[in-house]
Amino acid sequence: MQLRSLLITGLFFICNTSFGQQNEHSVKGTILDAQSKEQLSGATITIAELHRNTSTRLDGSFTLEHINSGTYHFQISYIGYITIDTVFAVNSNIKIYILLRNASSALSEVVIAGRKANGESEIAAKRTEQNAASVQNIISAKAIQMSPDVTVGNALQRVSGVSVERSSSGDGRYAIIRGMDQRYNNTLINGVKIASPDNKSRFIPLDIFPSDLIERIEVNKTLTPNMEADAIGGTVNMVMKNAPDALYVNASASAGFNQNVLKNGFDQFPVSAINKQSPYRANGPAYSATPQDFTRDNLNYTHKSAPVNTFATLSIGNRFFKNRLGVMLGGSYQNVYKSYNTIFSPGEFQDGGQLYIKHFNVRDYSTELTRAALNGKVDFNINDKNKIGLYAIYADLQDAQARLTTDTLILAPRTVPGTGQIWQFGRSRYQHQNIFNTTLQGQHTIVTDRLKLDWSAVYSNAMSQVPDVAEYEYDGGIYADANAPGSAPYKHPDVLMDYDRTWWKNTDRDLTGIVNLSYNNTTRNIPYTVTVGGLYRDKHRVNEYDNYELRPVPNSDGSKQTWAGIYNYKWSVFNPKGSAADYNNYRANETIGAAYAMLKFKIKRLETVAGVRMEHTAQDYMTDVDATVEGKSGEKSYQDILPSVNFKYLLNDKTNIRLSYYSAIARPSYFEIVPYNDKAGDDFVVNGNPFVKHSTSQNFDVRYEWYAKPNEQLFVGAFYKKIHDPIEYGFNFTGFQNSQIYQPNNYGDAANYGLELVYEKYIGNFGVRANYTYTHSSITTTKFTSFRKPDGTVDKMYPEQTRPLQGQAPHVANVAVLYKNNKLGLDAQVTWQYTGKRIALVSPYYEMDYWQTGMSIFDLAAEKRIAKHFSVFVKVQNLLNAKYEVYVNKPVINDVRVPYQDPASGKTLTQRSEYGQVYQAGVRYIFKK
Amino acid sequence: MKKHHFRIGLIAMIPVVMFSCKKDGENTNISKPLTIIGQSISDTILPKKDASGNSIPLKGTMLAGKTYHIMSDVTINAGDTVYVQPGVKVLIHGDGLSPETSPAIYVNGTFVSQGTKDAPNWFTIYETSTVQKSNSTYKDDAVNDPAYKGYWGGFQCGKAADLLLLRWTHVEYTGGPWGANAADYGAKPGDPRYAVYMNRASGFSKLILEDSWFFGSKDDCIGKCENTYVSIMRNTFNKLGGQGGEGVNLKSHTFGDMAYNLSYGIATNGLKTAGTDGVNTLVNIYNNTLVNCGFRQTKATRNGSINTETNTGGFIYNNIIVNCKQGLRISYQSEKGKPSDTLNTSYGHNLTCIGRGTVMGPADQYMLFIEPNQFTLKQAGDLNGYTNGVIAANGTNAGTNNPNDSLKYDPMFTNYDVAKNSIGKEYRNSVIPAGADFHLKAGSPAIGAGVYKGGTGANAMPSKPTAPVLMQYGFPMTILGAAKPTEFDAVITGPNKDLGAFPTDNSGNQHSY
Repeated sequence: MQLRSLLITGLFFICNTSFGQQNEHSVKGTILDAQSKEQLSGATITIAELHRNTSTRLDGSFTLEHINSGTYHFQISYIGYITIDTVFAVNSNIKIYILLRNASSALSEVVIAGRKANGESEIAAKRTEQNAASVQNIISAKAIQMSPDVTVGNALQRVSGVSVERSSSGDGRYAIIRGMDQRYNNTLINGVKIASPDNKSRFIPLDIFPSDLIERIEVNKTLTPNMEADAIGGTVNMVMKNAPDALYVNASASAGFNQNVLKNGFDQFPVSAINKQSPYRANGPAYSATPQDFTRDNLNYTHKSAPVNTFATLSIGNRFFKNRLGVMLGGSYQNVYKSYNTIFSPGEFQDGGQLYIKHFNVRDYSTELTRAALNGKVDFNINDKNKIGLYAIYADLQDAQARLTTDTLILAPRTVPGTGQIWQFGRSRYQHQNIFNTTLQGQHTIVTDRLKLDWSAVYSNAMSQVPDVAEYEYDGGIYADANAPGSAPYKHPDVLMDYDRTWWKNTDRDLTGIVNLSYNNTTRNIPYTVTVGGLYRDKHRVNEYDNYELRPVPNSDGSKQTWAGIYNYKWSVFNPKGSAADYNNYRANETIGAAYAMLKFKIKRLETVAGVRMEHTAQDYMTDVDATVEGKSGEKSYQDILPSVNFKYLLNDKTNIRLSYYSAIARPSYFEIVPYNDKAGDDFVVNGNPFVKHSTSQNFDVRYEWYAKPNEQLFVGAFYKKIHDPIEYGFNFTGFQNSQIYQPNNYGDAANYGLELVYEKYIGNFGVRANYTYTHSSITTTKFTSFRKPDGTVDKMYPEQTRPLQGQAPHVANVAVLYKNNKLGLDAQVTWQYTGKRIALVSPYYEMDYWQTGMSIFDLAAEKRIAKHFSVFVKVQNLLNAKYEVYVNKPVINDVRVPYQDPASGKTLTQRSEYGQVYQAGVRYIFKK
Repeated sequence: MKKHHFRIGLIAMIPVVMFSCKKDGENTNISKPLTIIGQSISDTILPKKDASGNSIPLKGTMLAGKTYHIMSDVTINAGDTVYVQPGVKVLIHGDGLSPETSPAIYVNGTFVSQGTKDAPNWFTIYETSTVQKSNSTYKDDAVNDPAYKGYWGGFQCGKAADLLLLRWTHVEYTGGPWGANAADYGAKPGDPRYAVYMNRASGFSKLILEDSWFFGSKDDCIGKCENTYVSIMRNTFNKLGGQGGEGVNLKSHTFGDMAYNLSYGIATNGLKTAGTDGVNTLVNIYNNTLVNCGFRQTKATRNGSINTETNTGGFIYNNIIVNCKQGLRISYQSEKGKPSDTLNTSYGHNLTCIGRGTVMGPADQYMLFIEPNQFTLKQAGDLNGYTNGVIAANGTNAGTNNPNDSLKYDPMFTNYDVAKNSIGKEYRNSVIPAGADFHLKAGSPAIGAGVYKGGTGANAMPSKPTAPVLMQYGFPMTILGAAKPTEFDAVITGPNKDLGAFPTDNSGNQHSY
């Protein structure tokens, strides 16, 4: 490592800016990237003899004052760049421009395990965007570190055109890319798709990944032929940290709390009391469960005052054996307590398309989230021509949630506000999810500068376990006795109700092999690259489900048992053998074979990547239902030929124009094709649909990119997507009377188009980053309603309704204002994220979709250097405690006033959640040699 | 409509002789011929197995006097018929603990159990040391009473079932859990099976339950039948539903009559109809007697006698309700249901009696004549202690129940002292007292209080010209009847001038206890 600092590989220019004869002079300058001429913010300038140093501002400039005349060694370093060690004579005020050379070669389109020591920086992120073959947006590790976001799910909403679907604790869980929800996107780690812990679908919960192990997050909005095709909306690629050039340590520890926890405390139950296995799994199919098989401690809540959130992260990297071996290890731990309140009053359909509220729920949630992740990345240069790399990540999320509900029946016996039948619920739900992914990769130069081969062998496994979900219930309330006219309402005894204990477990295992072969050459002065490759994946998933119903034992005199705490609850097991034969006990396989050919060439200023990809999918499932039941098992297969072409026209050094076309697919999820049968409501049955077809799409993109100044960029883009056979829920005839089922179906064609705008600029210590996306989508599906015929009888109707895609907001905007003062060692930013009105939930009933109102979230983060290698930071999320509100655009017809409802407004509030502010403060240690 | 195979069998059959005729007090009884359809079923251990151990579907005739043992699930294929001659005893070997050990009879064709008053048929449990029957010491013990154990799986009628006819037949101890084929019957594994479930994929199934006894079920007895024509007449329903469940629970798209039934000690409602949005359901409910129903249901806001909700209608007349949680409810919005089809509902002349001498307080389960704030009104001819209140814009009624009207509407049963059976928590006692007789004593307010064919003035048959569909189906309906009924048609008894299932002219329910 010592050798490296002696190398002088940069270029520099000096000009004198004053000719004064004073003894003290100033040195001003700007540090630039040698290739892109981008100003490098945060580079370090050291004068060894004087023990003086400084670092560059956001626009790459620096100033060193009061330098006595003399000749000094200047060392200019920036992580990921080759350090310059040089000598300047300072005899007057001087201004210097220094060009630093990137330590790594240009990034390729395929993300491979090469050495990209600088990948964490924002500059690198921007350069990747500029150089990428596809339309990309990138968030760098530096940007994540500086942001208030502690999970990948939350960080993603900073990307233009991306909004997030939140988990019940308010964290971003799934990315909605340009209005296309998680069904239409895929999630990659280091460019390779990973297994899903979801029990029914193929989604990856992005809140499982702590953001601090990530070098950068790439959102690809167009595809090239070498990318997997199930990304109509796009891909989210998490690139893990690479080994650095020299010893690098980044560690932080912090603590914090949630405003709501501080205010209301936290209800905790012991996770250790949960039986991880159901009586059926623990004792075998012959076993009859007894009341003693079901624990009680897990339903005993202890109210705690404000437990503290803790966070710790550590990344260590170095290179050994003359830089041939690079190692990067990382670990992250987060333990977060959240508590929040929700009111939930779902709308009920009444004949004639009317809406009323039956249940009004007030729910207090207490959630403890424990995230742990480890990653390791090793790369080894066997020789100049052969490199191998191995990396692995393990991400683990435990989510222990207590939910205490008060549910008031808004119908009789409620006669006036303040009265009614009231249920009390206490639910304990503990979910343990993890994803393990390991990849062995190799890069081989077969013919120097001509023929290259790379390959990946991937093992990925995901698991989710939700053992013993339990929600006890008792029913009392305050209302008058109907047989005692004029009597005052009184508190009715809390009568225990039946309740369920449910176990879910699923695993998802992927084995993937990928090979790419590329050939470079030039013909008639046209450089080109031909790449061919293929992928094979074998997926196997197993789902287990067990459900038991517990019923309260009446008192010895036959009267109903009342609530006297969970430890006094006497229950019997209604179905002692469990529910082994349920559809939810299923196994599924999927094999995907893909091959592609891609040609990249550059004629003058036009760079073209064109090619075609073929993907063959074979899916099957096997359930534990009886052989007499239709659809016990099934399989389907299909093949797609997917052409694409990406043009990038370099109008000049600072301007790109991109034009691209690609076709993509979306596969039905594993469980959607299982013809399960769930009598969810009185009106209809929800079914799987083995005949649902996969969706295909044609996608067009145009983007204008203007890198006006090294630290200023402007993107203006537009996109258009035509989706054939989109999979949406709607009604279908069953052949069973005139009854219909609610199931995933293909609904003709849907269109989705929009505009994107990204702007970034840095002036001195200030910077602004902003993006805005307009999206319009529309799809038509069948809905249910009913009407009264002239003869007085009612009839069903299944009208079509056109609406935007679920989760798609017309307006999505982000603004971040940044401040960086290197002298003070201070970084700060305030961010605003806005997601416009959108459908939170598609209702099966005509004109009864659930709409989320527009939501503005302000966050704040700051970091200040306090000593060599040390800094302190604070993060505040959700500064203004934004409310999450969901409405149905129909007034309620209830006779007795419903809380929070204003029928005159013409709409009905069905949900309001307040998550509260989240504060975090800590110390970071960064060492880089 | 598909031709039933059993009809072919009928051609070869000696014509059915009419039931005994009554003329001037002179009685003549001649023996009735036995019907045989298809082959005789001589094996008494069922189902028979083929060489590889698979069950052979059942068809043919179960022979009078024989005792059959059902060891595992029995299936009747679509188009096939099983005919049970009078005096057959079927013992089901089950323990109710798992689907495999709770055999069911799957009916995809036709199942006819033709018991007679003198030679009834039995479908009951095979008793062992661990599988025991209930007895009269279990008065109010939902947990331990074997009546609610659900030892076997009942009659599960599939998508193609034509007819289930149970006449003078005992069906006992049903409710064993669903297994792997639950989805075919709209259920989930682990759910309890009903004694009878019917839901045809196209057209209508026919369900005729006459003069039979349904005793002991884990959940609903006649459960959630859809797309079915029904005639449920002169039956006794007792000890049904452990801690929830209805005696008869008819769902959407059912049409027919429920009359002259005695419902005694049912967990929730004795007789209930509940449709779905946008689907019509019309069931006439008349001349039933319901006693001690609704008290084992743990969920509040469920009714406990006769209940209609979500688009159901029909003529509801001449019923007697004694010591039930609540009287008749024509539901508006309840925790479970949506508004009844009030246009196609016509009701009145129902007697509701509460036997408690005191106002029932918080510690007791109280009883209501009519639950206020639903559609139900006290109608002309009704006998109960409810005073109608203001009718709201949505049609509901906020009336009041007079707690002092205890015993005021005692129907005066021949041998069942309402006052005595109202003491303490006797209203929860599900055992029909030995020798109980629910006929009416002279002087009963229920005598002559009904609407009936030929009645005039207050007793005239109701008419509702504003509801053409209701009028078109009629009261009683004639869907399953015939002018000259064969043994495969329903024997329909029209409404009586007296209230309840046991009118003084003895034309109603023929059971004695």
